[in-house]
Amino acid sequence: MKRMIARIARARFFIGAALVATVAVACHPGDILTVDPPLGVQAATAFVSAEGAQAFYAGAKADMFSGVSGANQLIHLSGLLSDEYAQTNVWGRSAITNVDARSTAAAAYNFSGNDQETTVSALLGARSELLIAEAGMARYEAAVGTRKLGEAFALIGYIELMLAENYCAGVPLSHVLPTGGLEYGTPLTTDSLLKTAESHFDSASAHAGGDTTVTMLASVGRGRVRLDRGHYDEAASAVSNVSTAFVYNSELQPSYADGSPYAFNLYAAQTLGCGIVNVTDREGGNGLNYRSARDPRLVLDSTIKQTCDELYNIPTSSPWYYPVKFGNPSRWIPLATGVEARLIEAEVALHGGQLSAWSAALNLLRANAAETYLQLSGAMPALTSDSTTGASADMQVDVMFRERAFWLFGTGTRLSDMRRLIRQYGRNPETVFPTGTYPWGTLPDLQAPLPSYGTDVTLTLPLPTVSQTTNTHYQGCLTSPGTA
Amino acid sequence: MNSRRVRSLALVLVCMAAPVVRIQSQTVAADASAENARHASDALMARLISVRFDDVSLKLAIDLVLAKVDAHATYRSAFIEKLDKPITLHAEKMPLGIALDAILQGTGLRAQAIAADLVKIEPTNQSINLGTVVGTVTDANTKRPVVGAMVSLDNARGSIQTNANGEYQITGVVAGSHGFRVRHLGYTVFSTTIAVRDDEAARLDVLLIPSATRLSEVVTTAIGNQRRLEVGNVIAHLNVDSIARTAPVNSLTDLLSGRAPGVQIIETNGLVGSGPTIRIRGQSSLLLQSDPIIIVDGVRQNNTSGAGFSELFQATARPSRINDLDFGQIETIDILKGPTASTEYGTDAANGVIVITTKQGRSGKPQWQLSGERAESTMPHTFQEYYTSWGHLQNGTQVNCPLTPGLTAAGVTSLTAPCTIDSLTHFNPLNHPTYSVYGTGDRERYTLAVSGGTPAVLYNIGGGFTTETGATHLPDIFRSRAIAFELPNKVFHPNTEEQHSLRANTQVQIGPTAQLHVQGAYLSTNMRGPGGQNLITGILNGQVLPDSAHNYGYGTTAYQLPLLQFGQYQIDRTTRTTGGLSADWQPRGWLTTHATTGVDHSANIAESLRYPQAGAAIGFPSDIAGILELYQTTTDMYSADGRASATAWVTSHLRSVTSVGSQLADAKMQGLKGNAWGISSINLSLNGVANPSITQLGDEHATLGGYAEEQLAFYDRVFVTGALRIDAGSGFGSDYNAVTYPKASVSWLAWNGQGHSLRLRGAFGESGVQPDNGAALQLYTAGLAYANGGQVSAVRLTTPGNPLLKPERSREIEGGVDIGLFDDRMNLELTRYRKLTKDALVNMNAGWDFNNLQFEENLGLVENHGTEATLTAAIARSSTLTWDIVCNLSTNKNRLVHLAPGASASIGGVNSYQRNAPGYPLYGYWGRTITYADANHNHIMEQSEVTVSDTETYVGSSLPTREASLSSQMGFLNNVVSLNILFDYRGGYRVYNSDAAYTDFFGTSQERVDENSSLWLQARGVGVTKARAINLAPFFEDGSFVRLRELSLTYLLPSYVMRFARGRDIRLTGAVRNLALWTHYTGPDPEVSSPGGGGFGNQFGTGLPYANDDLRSSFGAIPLARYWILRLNIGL
Repeated sequence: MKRMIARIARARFFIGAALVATVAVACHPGDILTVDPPLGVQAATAFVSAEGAQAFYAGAKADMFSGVSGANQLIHLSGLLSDEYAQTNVWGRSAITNVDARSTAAAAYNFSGNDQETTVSALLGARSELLIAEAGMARYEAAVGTRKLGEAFALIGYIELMLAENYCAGVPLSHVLPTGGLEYGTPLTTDSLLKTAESHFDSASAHAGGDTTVTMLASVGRGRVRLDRGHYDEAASAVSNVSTAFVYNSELQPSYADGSPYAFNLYAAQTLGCGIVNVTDREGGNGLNYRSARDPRLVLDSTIKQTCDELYNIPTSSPWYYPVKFGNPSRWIPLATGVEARLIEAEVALHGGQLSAWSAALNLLRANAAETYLQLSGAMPALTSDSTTGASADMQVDVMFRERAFWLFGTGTRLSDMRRLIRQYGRNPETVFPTGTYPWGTLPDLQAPLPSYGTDVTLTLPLPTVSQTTNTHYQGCLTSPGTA
Repeated sequence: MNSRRVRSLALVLVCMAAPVVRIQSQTVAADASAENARHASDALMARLISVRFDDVSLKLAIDLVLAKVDAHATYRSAFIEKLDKPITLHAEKMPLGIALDAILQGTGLRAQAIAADLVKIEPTNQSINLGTVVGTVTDANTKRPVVGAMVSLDNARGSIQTNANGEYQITGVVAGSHGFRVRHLGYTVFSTTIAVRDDEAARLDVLLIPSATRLSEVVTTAIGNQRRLEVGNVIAHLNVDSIARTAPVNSLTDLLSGRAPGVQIIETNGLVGSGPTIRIRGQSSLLLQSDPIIIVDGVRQNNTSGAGFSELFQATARPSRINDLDFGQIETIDILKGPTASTEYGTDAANGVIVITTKQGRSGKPQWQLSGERAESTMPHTFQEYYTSWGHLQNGTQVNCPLTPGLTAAGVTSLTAPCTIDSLTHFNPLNHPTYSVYGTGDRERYTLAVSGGTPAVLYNIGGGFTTETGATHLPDIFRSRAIAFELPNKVFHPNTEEQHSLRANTQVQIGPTAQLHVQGAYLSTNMRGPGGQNLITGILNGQVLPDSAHNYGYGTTAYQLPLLQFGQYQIDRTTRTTGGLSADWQPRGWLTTHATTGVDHSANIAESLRYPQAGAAIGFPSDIAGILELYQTTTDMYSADGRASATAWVTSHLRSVTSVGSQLADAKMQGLKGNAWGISSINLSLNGVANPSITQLGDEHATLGGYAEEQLAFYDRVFVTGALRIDAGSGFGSDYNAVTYPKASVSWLAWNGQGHSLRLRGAFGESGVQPDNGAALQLYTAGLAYANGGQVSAVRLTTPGNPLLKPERSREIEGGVDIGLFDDRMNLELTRYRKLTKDALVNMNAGWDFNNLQFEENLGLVENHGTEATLTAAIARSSTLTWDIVCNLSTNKNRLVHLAPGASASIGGVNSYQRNAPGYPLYGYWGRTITYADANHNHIMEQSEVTVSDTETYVGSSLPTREASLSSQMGFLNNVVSLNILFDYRGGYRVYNSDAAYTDFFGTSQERVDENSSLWLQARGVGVTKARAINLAPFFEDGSFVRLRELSLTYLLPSYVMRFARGRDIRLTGAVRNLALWTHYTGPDPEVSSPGGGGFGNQFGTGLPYANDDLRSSFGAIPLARYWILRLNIGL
């Protein structure tokens, strides 16, 4: 028995010792298991430096500009839902047609990966990257300089502003945790989103470090926010320091690939065989006469070969128009301009009943057309009193918004203006947005015929079940896309 | 102690106490029963009998007496038979007891009634002293005691077992001569005669000679070599050396195919050098490759999947790294099929472990083994004919007219005007030798090996050389164009492979208790394949005609022309240097230790080139005509393994084996990728090319873990094993340090006697697979951004990371029975298993908040369950005929049990018809269903008569769910001639016949133009045009097939010839591989898929593409070739 016990003890001792050794090895592997991440990517620690923070900022900024003004991004969608652009690309792209036909909800709910989803995703992604960059640059502010810090705050504000202006309420704002992992935000109302944007514009001004570009960029954004919220007087004061010639472009690499503003311009249309935009004329009856007005601020070219019609099975009878203002590959789409600042001041004057000041502001801008971001060859003719001081109140509003539409064509402001016409000027949506028969609703490649325009006035956030289930707070649209 | 544990303990105590209670209650009844028996016995001996006999034997006398009272006697026959005294008895109404005393008088025996009708005859203590037999049983080879051997005498009931020292003792043996027999599993039965004398102990020491019974087979596991009997899980064991000599196999995966149940060899395509993937007991992961790990002589090997991928040409043929190994140098392969067997290998081993043991030296004079082989390959398949309809409109205009209005036969343009078909023609260049890209290939293989040494130093050195030219070739009709554009001769035979191998194993005995093994190998594989994704013909064209205007049926689409497909190539050159050093040391009799360290160094060059001349020949602009893409990578896989086992005899019949071990595996890849367009014919390199793109590559992953295992063996019949493995891995999240995997198994040799055996076994085990390198980290990609009119450095968030990331964890339970019959001439091995992979990694979308960044999370649950059976039978064993058959059967049901909400069910952004959907198999096929009815009975399906569902529904598994193989080996005339056959069946799965879908879509199929086609086929074709989609359910066809995989006839040269040639063993083999195929699949070969199924994923982190072979589509896939082989093996 004694021998047996000794044998058992020996075996158990052996097991115990082995287990201890094994656990020790496995739990304290030391450097053996510390490996570099795959080449081509870098761990977060690689960017804990001033240079890294600035590199991250460069990437975030480029991603934001791509989301704002790249092909199929916000400016494109915004222009489609408004009266600026008609759909041009049908094959496999029914979502675009849905947006153009003001049936954005159908597009959002039926087609995963549609452009509305892509766009809001790109903008929110860029925002989370800008937040990381901003935190990094703040840590190395002395080396980076305050200007970039202020600019980053302003760009964050612009993303929030444009999401509020173009989408229904319900956009969540989230951020990446510095230690890894994610923190999801709750859906915000449109007004909350605008307030958040304004606070970022304030931060931008505070960190501008005396840089006038950043200061004016923040000011125009702040003015837009206040205008959107109906705080007119505050809007005017916000932009008073902005020069008329000011322009801040959403700069992207000249290339005709998707994701650059190049896709909007004439060269792209010629290179690709067809462009992705077609400027409309009185779309749906209520649209402005962008083509027939022959306004120098919006010169169109209809001479480009019309291969798009054949490609997309669209009847060849409709000529296609491209905006010459984007005719040069280096002509980026502006994010903020001094022209908009003057227009905000003019609208504030109109709203305050200061008709002379209003008329003078609009005409001064026309007179200084050569100094604006459009750099027209000379002054534009002044507006007559028939259309300004002598016009009816409704017509004055029409003139104000027409001036905005032509000065700011294709820069992503028209949809917000049309919504404001409803929200702040009491217009009926059916007198502002295109209505009636949808002219391209029965094209052969459409998955579902769209016989007439719908009633939407905002882009739609897709249903949570489509692809946004990671954020459990997310609910989709808090307001109907038909609510201005 | 929590309440659950208290309840469990109470339950155990109750269970232990229950038998005691039962025994106490039975005691009273037992006393009464004994009293009754005593009365009955007394009554029997008092019964009066009358009997009369003279001079009969003692046995007969007893029987005659007892017959009078209907009673019987029990006795050892030896007591009775040794007494030859004649008995005479005349009794009249004599009590039975007195009669028996009279008969037994003077015999030394006595009678005692032990029941109402039973009398026991036994010796009186005083009269007979019995003998004893003692001895030891020892293994004839190892000279170690054999424990648990069954020792028996002919005239003794039952048998006894040898103890821990191999000793036995049989007492009470009646003097005389006895038959003596010793049996033990794994040894030849020992039998002899032994003489025993009274009062003496006869000694008989026995040397048992090992014999190869199935249960005694030695298999290699993580803790070393073990008898199969001791292992509670099933392990497939292949004696490769005996298979490879005669079987028509071209690679290691060929050799594995159909030979181990549950081990699926999934072919990719039939190009020479294209390697299949291996799936053992199904797919377990949604994200990670489900490949097993490979270990050769203890050294972990590189088994990279999707290697050699070309972004430019999307990889026509990609070698499997396992096929770098020369199967001619392998002795055995053990396949550990899942966590029940691979727990000790830890993380990375959940998909199984292939343990390869190469040939080792044998003591004696050098023995040479030479072989030479010549083979010819052909492509025996028939390909779908492409149809062209010739018709006219009402105005007489000639058109290609479809049977049903809609798309024209040309495909794209709508044809609304009614037309009339005048005639049909059909053609496919692949079915005509003049036009086909398939011809005849050839293969040569030569090997040389020598083995020998002394007991102190053993060696085995072997080398091999294989060269093969595939059956694809440039048709003669294009040769003049190739020559005119000065294309090199390579394009005429675009698919070749060359392999070299050299392996040396030495074993040095260091003192009486230690051995040192040194191994080294050099392997090289040089494969060249055509640069096209596939070798389709004129599918995309309306008119497939054998004239120059239509490129002889290859159509007018440049990408389909063989001149382009073959004018661009992909080369994969891999050289591997493997080295290993291992040592065995037994410092004490009860303690054995082992250590191995090794490295597998792979240098790979993957080069994709389109000759500028080829681009020019089909009209590409000069700036894009020539393309070059170059990958140069090296992969170093370091491994170290240390283990020790201690054996202790707790009692004479209870043995304890305690094992511990620790393993390290570390794989590092680094390299460069470069590519450029506009390569010129005078400079086929990246040097001097404008704007070449260079990318730096690198990856690394490592695991480190240890285990402890305890095995208890009772009577060498019951083996209970428990183990625990602890691992850490480089892919774990920062908040997850280590993982533990438990294991337990039981093996019970329930019956072993009279030539039959029955073993019951059950096992439970866990192991894992760690996430990709970097998946747990917050990662950024470095690049450029445009700012201020120029390029600036920029980084972008790639993934937010997941600090909680942990390995996928597979838990497996299996149970089975092994039956051996007729002295192991027939064996049945039956296993049921269920494997659950929890924490399966899934891609989570961070949502719009983060621009849909992807990150990995452990959220999936995958189940595989199935049955495996192996039946081996030696049907005939005679000098004129030996016949053995092996039948393998396996089933596997795969199911994604659960997928977290929000997890990506789509597969890698590739195709929509294969999905990972909860409740269905991984990578299952999904398609839109078709219903149809010929309403107007015109035998032509119109669009209005066909309905296509709006949504896709599950159609079937993309991998076989049932497999079977039947192998037959027949030897004639003392095995002078042997005939081997292997049939292979796979079923229960679907194959996406996308070729058929495309021809329907473009109107070049028979059913789109011929009203004689079946309504079903017509409906399928019309459905495609109506839905404008090709992923319709009817195109996912039943892929079941039976293939005559191997057929070989071997002739062993007569002894006088061998004497003349001074050879030991000279064999001539003629063989055919892939001789016949039976299937309902309408494509050429249901076993192949186009590379990556036309779908490709991205490697995590690097974003580099890889071909995902779980994505399967027939699109232009190249069928398996048929090989006619002649081989000569010479042993000197």
